[in-house]
Amino acid sequence: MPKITYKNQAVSIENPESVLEGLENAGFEIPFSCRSGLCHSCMMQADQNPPRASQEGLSENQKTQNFFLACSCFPSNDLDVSLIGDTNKIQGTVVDKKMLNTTVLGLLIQVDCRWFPGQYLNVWYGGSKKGEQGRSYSIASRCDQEKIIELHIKRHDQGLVSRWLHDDVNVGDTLTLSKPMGNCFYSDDHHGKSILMAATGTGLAPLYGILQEALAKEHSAPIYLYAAAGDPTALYYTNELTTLAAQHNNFHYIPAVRRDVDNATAENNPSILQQDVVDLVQQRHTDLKDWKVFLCGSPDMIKKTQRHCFFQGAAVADILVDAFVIDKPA
Amino acid sequence: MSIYEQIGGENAVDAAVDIFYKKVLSDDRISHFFDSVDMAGQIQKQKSFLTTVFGGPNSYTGKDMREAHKHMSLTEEHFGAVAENLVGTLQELSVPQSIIDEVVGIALSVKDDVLNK
Repeated sequence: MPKITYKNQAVSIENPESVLEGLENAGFEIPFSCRSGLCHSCMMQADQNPPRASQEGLSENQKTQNFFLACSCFPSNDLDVSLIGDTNKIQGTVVDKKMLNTTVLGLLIQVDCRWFPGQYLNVWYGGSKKGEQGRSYSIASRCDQEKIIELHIKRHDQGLVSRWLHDDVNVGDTLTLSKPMGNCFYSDDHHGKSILMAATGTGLAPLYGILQEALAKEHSAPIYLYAAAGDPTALYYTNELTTLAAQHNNFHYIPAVRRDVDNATAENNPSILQQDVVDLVQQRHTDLKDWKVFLCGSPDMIKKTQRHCFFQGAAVADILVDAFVIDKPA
Repeated sequence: MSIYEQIGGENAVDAAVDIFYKKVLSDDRISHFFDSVDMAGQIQKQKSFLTTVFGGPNSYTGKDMREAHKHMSLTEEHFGAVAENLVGTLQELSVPQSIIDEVVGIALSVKDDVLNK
């Protein structure tokens, strides 16, 4: 009889009981609706590989993270399970801080957990009168032996957490974080497929991580990265990305700004376009059948661009997005 | 055999969702209801909806339909637009008229719930 461990309690699953029924019979409340594998209300995550049948209808990236549907899960082995978003807090140590442009801080944090570049985590700030405040930041680095998470923090003048990270946090300090989460990352499913990526502002962070991963996995099909900002000073990593584009024939880097393109120096990039990134993608990519798409940054750019991609042939499951919603000033 | 099985089960529903979603996004009468940044979530809801109207394996009830739509202030025109796009989708997939009639019958059976009447 397989055992399901949930919230530190082991529950025996009687044949032919689903994980959902087993947990309910043990007194747990698990969200559900259709109980037939369609609505995804009872989606959970396992530490081990769940039965394949319990992952039917999930995206590749959900399967990669061992997500499964409790109502369709009839396990033969023991599983440790949790609800999605039920994340325990972890600790990380700041190992470096570097300014990437005048307002964006690159924060490097040593952690002891796994992640997929492009996922995000919450950074918790305890110094507020209103209680603990969490802010989400996407991960721009690969998960290798060094286990260093890179976050790009834009300074908001009214932003409680961003000002704290910019001004008060020092190398050597310990930060409280959530576990990495989210579905916007590169997986084996992307191999050999053309990739379109578009970012506004620090939406570049997850895409930079995804790009590193793709290049490390020797992705051979074309990759187009559109990085958009208000003016040339708000772009960052232009030299690094230009160098990568020179090293990899299949990688194309297209920086774009809304204004002041003439102020860009040849040194920080000769090839910046002054055009709306939504229009650029629409003009340049008219057949996106079988393409994989990553869109990160402003919800408005994402909405317009994902709709374009869908109408030009990309499957919705192949359009991964990470919308940055700016919190109201604290 | 249910309509769901007759038209080819989950694969047919996936094909129908794709066409249906493009139609509703292009329909000015109702596109704003579907204009969410969470496209994958939209697809999931539409898959549940189409599975329901095809009599497929889920247990969505009138109560669920009422709960899901009651804050949306929907009108007869909105309902008609969705029904029109649904029929257009099935026609595009060459579903026989007799089955389309049956699907429309199922859709009409939840109309009062959807319009919160």
